[in-house]
Amino acid sequence: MALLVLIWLWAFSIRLCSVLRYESVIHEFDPYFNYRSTIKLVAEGFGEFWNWFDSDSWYPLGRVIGGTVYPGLMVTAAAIYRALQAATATVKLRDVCVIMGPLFSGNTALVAYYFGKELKDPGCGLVAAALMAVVPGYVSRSVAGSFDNEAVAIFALLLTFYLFVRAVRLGSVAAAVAAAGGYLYMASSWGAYVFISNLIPMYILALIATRRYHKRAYVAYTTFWAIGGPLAMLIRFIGSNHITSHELLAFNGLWLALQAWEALLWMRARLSQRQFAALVNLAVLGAVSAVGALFGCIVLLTLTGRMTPWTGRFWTLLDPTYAKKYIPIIASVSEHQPTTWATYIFDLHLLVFTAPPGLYFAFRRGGDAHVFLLTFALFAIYFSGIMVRLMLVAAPAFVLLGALALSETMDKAAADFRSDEEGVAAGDGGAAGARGSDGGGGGGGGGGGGPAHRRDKKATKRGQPDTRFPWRREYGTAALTVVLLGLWAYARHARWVTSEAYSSPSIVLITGRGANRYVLDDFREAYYWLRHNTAPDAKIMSWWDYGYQITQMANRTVIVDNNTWNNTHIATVGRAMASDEDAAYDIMRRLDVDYALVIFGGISGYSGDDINKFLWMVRIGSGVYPEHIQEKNYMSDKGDYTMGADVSRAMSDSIMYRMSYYDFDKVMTEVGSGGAYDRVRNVAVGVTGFGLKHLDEAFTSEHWIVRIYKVRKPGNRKDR
Amino acid sequence: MAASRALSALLMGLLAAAALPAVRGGGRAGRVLALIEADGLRRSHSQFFKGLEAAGLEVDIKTVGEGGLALRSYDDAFYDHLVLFAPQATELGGSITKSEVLDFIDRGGNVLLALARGASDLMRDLAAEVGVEVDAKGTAVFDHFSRQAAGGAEDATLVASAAWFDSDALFGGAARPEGPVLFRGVAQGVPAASELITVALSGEATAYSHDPKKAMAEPPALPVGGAAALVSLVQARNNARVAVAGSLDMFANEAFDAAVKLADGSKSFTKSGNRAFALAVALWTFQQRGVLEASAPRHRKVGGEAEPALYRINDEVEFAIDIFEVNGGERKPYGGDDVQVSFVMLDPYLRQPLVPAGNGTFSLRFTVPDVYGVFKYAVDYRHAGYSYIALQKVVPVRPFRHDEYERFLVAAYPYYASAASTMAAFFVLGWAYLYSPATTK
Amino acid sequence: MAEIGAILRTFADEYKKTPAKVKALDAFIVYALATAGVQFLYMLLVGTFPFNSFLAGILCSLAFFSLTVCLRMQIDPSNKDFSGISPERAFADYVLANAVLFLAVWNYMG
Repeated sequence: MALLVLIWLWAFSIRLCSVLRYESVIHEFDPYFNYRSTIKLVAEGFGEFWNWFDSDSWYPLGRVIGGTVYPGLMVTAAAIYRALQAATATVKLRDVCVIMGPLFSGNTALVAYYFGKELKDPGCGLVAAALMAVVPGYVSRSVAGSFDNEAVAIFALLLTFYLFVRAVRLGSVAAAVAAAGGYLYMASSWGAYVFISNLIPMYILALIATRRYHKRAYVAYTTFWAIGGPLAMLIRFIGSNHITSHELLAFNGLWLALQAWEALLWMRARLSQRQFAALVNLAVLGAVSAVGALFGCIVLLTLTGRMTPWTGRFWTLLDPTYAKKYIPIIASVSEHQPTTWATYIFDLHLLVFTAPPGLYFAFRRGGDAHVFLLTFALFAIYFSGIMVRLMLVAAPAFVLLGALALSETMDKAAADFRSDEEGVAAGDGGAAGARGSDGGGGGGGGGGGGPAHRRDKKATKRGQPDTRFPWRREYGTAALTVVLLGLWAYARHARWVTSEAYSSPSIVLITGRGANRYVLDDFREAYYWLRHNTAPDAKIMSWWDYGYQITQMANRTVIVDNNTWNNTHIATVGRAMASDEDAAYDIMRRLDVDYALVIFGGISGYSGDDINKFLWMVRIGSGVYPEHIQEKNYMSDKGDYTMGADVSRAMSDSIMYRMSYYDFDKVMTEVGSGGAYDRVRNVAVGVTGFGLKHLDEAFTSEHWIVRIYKVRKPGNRKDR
Repeated sequence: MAASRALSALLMGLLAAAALPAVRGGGRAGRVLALIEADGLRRSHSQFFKGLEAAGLEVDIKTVGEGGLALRSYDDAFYDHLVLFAPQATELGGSITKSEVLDFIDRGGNVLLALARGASDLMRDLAAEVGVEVDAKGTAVFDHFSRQAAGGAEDATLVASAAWFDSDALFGGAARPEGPVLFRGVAQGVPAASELITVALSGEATAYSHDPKKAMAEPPALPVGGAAALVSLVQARNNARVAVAGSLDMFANEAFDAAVKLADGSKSFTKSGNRAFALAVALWTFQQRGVLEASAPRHRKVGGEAEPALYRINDEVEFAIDIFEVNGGERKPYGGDDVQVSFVMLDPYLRQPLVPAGNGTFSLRFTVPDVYGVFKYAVDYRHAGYSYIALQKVVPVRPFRHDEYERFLVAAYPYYASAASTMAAFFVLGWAYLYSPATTK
Repeated sequence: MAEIGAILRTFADEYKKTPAKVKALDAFIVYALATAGVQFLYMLLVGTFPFNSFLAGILCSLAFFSLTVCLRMQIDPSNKDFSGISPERAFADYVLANAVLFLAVWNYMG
């Protein structure tokens, strides 16, 4: 118990690195929307939030936020905030939002404990909890300030899985209802709820395929279907999609199939062999025609638009090259790129190597929970290979596999030299307590040591009589040492990754170390400039990445934002950015744009700037307006994407280029390079010294990262 | 957010109001500075200036180059209108420069600019700055048929044209000049697609612009007939007006009093149309004619509050605006029936004429489309000769709230019934389960 | 066809052996399926306009059906999978599940 509390604290505190190293701010992009929604929720109550029509984003389309949001995170944060207020604790809403991630990752570790217990024993649970607490793949989305859906959703995901596995074990309706409750929370938090509603049918199918199917599974599944379905449909964003979407086909189809299967089983119990065979023949005939009819229905419904076809993201999961070919907007998000091996090592470290033995042990044990873990792991590993983002879903699977493998290994090894083990385990456990978060290895080791100690007696009986192998104890020691060293390295790696790689809030940039450390706070500088120097109803055009931040921090209307629901609108902005000034001016006038904003790294060396994203704008723009925008026009004659001397005409005419490099020749960025040397692309810019016809430079932040241009009104006396 | 929306709506209203032409003080039609290039013009053009004074304008005649000339001191304007009767002047004197004149226009001042054959670059530039391209130096308008022949004149450059812009806004009523307008000067080119320029007088079909010292290009690349604008009216986006006349002589007493006999002998008139036309152009330019005042654009839900911060889709709404026409200080309800309002979100979802009530109020009732988004009411009225009306009012349209959808639909009764009966079944089942003798086994 | 008749006869004979309480539950199961079927037919007839009401109605019937099937399984002594669950416990769970279900359904209905 004490260990669990320690693990919880460990999970919580390791994620506070970001607050220590930076400050208590909301990170990234999406969390700003979540934060803004939470403010609205707290200020105006749930009814208003539920029906929120936001006219400040997606101008002039507006966005029905109430109907297009997963409200779980906001509601949770608001509830915590309200509870704290009621307890007369004066906490800022922002701070509540900031620590949501750490809070829930602590809870996730607890769930991992119970799941581990379900898999093997409390010892395995402790290992799972300790691994879960710091697994970098999860830390990446749950550091303090990462007020993101995923922070809560991974908790909900694991919780639902755990409750469902428990329901299958118990076979009670109440347990399945609890799982359905977890599903509701997941569905209210993250779009990946479909992962659950596809994985669970797969699990049941796996049970049937491995002849492990039993009535408890039926009860768990049908109850989960009966309660979880209607509950999830209460989320407005999901609504009837839960029935009609292809993505949920497995979920609903399996329910039907299970009824038929059970009916068959039921009949079999009541009929003779021969009669049953005849019935089955009839039933198969019926089933084939029924399936045919059902398929026809689905096709018909899809064609008539009643049923929503699979979304692009879904196709991407099946065919990794799909998005690249057809939907640039999905492919443009770095999170949707395929995962590299380096990412696996970086995000999972030790767990990559413990996964195969974990799979082995899961096969060996072969209980219901293990079949589940196998299904979960296989799907999660496959999906994580396709999209970096789904690494998050894979992390718990890896953790559970790792926990199983480590705990089994340590049990075995410890059994081999049980007499000396007690001291080691106790010492390790003690070290974990004493060294706190620094004792990562000790914590993990302690988790492993504990069960070994407790399982001692059982292991003794199995281990003792076997004397065929003389060096057992030495090998045991070696195995234990390797495992402990591995855990120690894992904990060190996790701590390093957390503090170095995943704590950056991305709105504040830090370069250099020690005395040469520079803080680039350009984003906030520019957003606050907008907030204080522009008309309250000014419309800002920027690439969609910055939409959420502008609406929240600058409190101004944006044309597109990170909720990329309308591809055409985004393509229009992409087209404007890629057009020359005259054409762009027409588009901007049509959209009532007052200011255009670009992110530029040529001086600061910030490589995530708009010019590096520009090809995506062109691709997305040409997807909708192929007659105006062609990607090849933006390449140099040699086919390169360059800003140098051979920059293409369309590129240097585009307002993206113009807004980025306006007046750029008047600063010297690198000693000895002459003017106009772009430090991101390491090239002297090709076209310089131009003026602007329809735009006026309104603001450029200290390091030129954010440049804001005012769109001129049409001339008083001339037609243009 | 709601507060800022209301504020922005208010600001929009204020901006729109500020864009309207200011109401001139009662009876006083404004101060005119007339810059003439030679003192002799005082006499030769005296009838024109008298005509201005008769219309209530206060005319201050100064010669170009006179000391102490100024249009304003800082933000304090000395004049509302400017007459430039100095086609040959290369500079205007005092603090009045080209950019000062343009600035005067951008601040809402009105300018009447008269040119002549061989007008200076300064004047040509001024014309070009308001979008009027004056034909090359040395050219003049010729017309060998529709020209003055009265008094034995044999001059093909003194053309007579009756191809004026036939508009009540320009002439301040139904009356039109009795005879053709005599014109001696240069032609102008006005782009056909121009949004801001109206040609007040163009050449007759036989007119052309040419430099007699140069060979005629083949085919002739010159303004011919109706394409040769003689007098153009420019109305800037801030409703400031600029008239560019190609001829200074058309404003002279001589032209005012002349009888006209056309050279082809077809027609003769006892009096030229110059007086009526020149004064009409001047008074139009000085905001005495064709001035529209639009005010109080407003909208409300039919039977509901005025100016709500949000509409809901399918709401019945009413939009109204007051439009008056001001002619020389006299204010009366505008009689046009072609004022349209659009309800725009990217594209207009509705564009319909507003219905005049006769008292200056134009209004329209309609149903908000079944589309949500940030809409704006836009009145963009550009009737040639009249002031522009460009007003916008932003109003977001939201979808139904979750509790606003129609409830208790008849079509759905079976579903309600089934759910209710299932619930009832549940209770019966529970009762039977708990109390049936079978429970005890 | 005679085969089917024989099957039905055997089935009827076998079915008579089920406990009375289970038979009572079966009546409700059949009722739930019947309402679901009627609603589906009605939807085919009048179209899908109040789509959420239709979904709520039919899901209510189907969910009630499957919950009742679960209850039936759990109290049927011939099923050995549910050793840990007493009929009383099963019924309590059943009531809980139905309460949640009806809440969700009525919420979605309107």
